[in-house]
Amino acid sequence: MNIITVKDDRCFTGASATVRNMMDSEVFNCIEGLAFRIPDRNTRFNFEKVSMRKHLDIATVNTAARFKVENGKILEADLSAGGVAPVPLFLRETSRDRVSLSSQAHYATPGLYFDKSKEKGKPFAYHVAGTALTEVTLDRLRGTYSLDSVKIVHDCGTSINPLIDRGQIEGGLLQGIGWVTLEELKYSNETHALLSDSLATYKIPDIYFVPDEVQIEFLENLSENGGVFNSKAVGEPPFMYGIGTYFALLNALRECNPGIEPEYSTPLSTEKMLLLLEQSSN
Amino acid sequence: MISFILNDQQFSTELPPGSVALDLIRKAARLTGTKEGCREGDCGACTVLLGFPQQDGMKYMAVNSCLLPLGELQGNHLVTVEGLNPSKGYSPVQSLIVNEGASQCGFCTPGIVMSLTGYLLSTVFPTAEEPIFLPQKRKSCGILNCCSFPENGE
Repeated sequence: MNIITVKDDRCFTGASATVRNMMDSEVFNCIEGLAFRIPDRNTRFNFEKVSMRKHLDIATVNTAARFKVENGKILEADLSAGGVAPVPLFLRETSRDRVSLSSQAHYATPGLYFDKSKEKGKPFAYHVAGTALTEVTLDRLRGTYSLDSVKIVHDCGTSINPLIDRGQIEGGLLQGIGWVTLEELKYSNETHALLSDSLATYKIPDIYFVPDEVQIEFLENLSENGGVFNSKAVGEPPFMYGIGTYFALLNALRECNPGIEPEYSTPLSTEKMLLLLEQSSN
Repeated sequence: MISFILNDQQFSTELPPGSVALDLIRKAARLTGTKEGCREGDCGACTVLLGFPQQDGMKYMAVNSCLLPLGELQGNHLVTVEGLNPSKGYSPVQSLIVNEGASQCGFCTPGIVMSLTGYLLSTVFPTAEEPIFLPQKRKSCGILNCCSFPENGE
């Protein structure tokens, strides 16, 4: 690996410019260190780093100074000041045409209030409604199962972008199915350390886990709900459709092992399912 | 010295043959389209194509770059997501992913693109159903948590 030596003493061009110049000169270099010439006797230098943030070890202001001094006279002086702020650029065309390059907006949902002393009020503008019909097939010998179909009707209010919303519902469904079938936090009995601490041991759904058939319909719901453009949250509510898979598996289990009433516990992994299938129902 | 072709350029490195390709791609070559996810071969965000010279041409397969030792690259062709579209356009796979809304937050999308591209390059008669079973075959790509999934027929 290359260690780059700064050839010119006068490198006080600021950290990013110094590094950029060196990177350009050697294509594909990975800088692992910097080396400087030892200053001669007549050179005095100093640098200061000022950091305002207690928990972040990045200096907000860097300054450096170098003086060449002979017989009490300063012959050369280099000063540099820099910081972590971005480099300002003057954009001629946008400035000339008065184009704003940024925009922002805030939305305060109207009509929300909550009285903490009475614990009464209207903390939410709307609720998200939906339903899922889930079909599963359970192998009663092995405890393995397949997800045959999930049919969802979901209330997005007025969808701003149906393509994105459909994707969020599909992804939410899969994440929910993962929670109730695969994802298990296992702790060591001795050390209490988390054992399922990586994707190798904490299995989350992959593309195989997608039910064979997924149908999604948006509920026609154009009533005023107080959301932006009459839309509703779509990121997390669809997690709940995974619960349907849990109960479908439970029903399949009851079909195979009548009378069994297992305690509610997720995830209903194939391992757990096999034990429940074998368990006597008294 | 390990020499191979990275996208459209000859590339050599003195890095140890046991170090992983992902680090070379992201750090030494500064190609950050390939993402680092789990770094243990599960999530597939780091999927790249590895091409081997064969008697009848090149053979490409999708691999996890986080588990790919540099020694495997010697004399071969490594293709990252940047290498799919040198003219800055979209590849057919990328266009479909855009049109079908199959990307949500997008972090793992480069891996999905590379896996599907690897499937299409390595299969003489691609079918609509088979790409779904790609990840297990190739041991790469395909954890779904935030993402939607491409429609079967596409």
